[in-house]
Amino acid sequence: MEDSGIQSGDFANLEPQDADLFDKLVDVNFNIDALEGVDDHTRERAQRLLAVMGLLDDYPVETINDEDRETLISATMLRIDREMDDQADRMRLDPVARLPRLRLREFVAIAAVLIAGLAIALPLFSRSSQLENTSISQASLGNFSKALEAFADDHDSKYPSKQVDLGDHGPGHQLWHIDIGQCGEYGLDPALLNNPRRPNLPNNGYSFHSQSSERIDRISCLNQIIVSDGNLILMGKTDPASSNESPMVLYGGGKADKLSSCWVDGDHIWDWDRQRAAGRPVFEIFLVHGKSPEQADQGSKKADQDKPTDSGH
Amino acid sequence: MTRLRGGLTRSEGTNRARRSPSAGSMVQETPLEERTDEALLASHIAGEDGNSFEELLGRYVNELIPFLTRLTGSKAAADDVFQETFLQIHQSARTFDPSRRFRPWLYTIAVNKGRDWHRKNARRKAVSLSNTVGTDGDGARMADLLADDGPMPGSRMEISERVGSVKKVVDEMPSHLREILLLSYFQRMSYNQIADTLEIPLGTVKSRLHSAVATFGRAWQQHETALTGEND
Repeated sequence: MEDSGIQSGDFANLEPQDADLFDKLVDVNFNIDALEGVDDHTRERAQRLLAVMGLLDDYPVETINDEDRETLISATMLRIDREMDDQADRMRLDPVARLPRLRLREFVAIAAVLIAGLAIALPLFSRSSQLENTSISQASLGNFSKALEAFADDHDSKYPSKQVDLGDHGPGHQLWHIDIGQCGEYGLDPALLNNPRRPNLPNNGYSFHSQSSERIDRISCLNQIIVSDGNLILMGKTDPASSNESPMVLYGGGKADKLSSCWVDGDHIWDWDRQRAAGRPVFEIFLVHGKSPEQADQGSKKADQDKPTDSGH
Repeated sequence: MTRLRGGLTRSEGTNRARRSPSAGSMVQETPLEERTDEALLASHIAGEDGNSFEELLGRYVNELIPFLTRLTGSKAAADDVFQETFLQIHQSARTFDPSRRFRPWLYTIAVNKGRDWHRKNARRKAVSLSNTVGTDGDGARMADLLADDGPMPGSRMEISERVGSVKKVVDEMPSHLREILLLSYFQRMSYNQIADTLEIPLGTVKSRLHSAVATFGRAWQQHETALTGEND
């Protein structure tokens, strides 16, 4: 409760001996006769100090008679009573009449603002998150490309390949796909195989292009999709334009870009013609997932269930 | 006249006032005028006796009004601050620490209400404070006032003249010095009681009170010198 901005040292103080003397006077309730152990000079000075203090007695103060006293008591009690009434009125009015309406209005207004804000913010957040993940995926594909190219430099311009048995989905057929595992010594970090755009899917890595030929000539597949970060067929979607999850793909030649259509010229997602020319029932050649044939099988079965009329097996 | 009958709300107090005193209660058996201040406040908080607060209030009229008159400079202001003080006590009764004495708490609130009043009237005060207090004009010193060979302070003035001068000098003192001077001299509070009331350290009480005495003495001497010069 110290006064703000005002210090007791703002003004000159008593002389030290007078300060001590004053302390003694306070101790004896300003009764100079009760002062003990002081010489005549000090006592004289104490009298003068007391005379200074005694001037305060001349401050004019009205005498309070009984009537004044009663009036003041009554007025004070009345004031307290009135204050209590006002307080009770405020308590009674506020919650029942005024506040609920205000609260309802405020609630509606705040809710409307919040909803509008969320409607604007959530898609932005979602969009921002999608863009970030797409960028990471694109960067990963870029690294795949560098590793593949480095591998091809050492292996007669051919990418690392591995044979995959399609099993029930393509009886008697064996396809080849990129074996990214062989690129480890070419600076490919296995952590890059985790696809940020499909973190909750069982096959959350990347899909690698499959084909009937064992060897891939990097020069001849400039427009072919080499690696994809999502297979629309496996995801049950066929129209990238209407899907926010349109795959990011690595084309032959090293370019990584979003897939604008399933019918990319020269891609190998579909192999209709080859199957039709062979006189076999048309079935889909999926991008086989790069992690394991078992995972690829799971994905293929799902797609098979989703599109029963497309498969002839 | 409507009277508050104890308790913290009017309805509470009225209802409680109608209740008969609880049997066997020592507090209820003791007449109001014989109870301590703390017991009266406790009775008021508990709503045990509708007249306990009025009794408590009545005990301090004759003591507090002169104090507040000197603190604020007018009887009307003192009445107002008195009412504010007891309104505050009524509203804050439940926060009273029973381990404390009531009187210092009362004075704590009264001094705070006095400060509030001064703040509201700050403009008027600012003008008057610019005059003499706290300056060393005319070379006036407290030591001169206490010099053995000089006349006793106030002896050179007529009583009526002296009354007006004292009021002027006190009213023009900074409020933090005036309140501590009044608590010490008129209310006869010890240093510890003042420290408790103003909630400041004991050392601050001493230095502030010394400063208050010196300021008053010096201002008085300046005023007296000025008046003597005019008369001569």
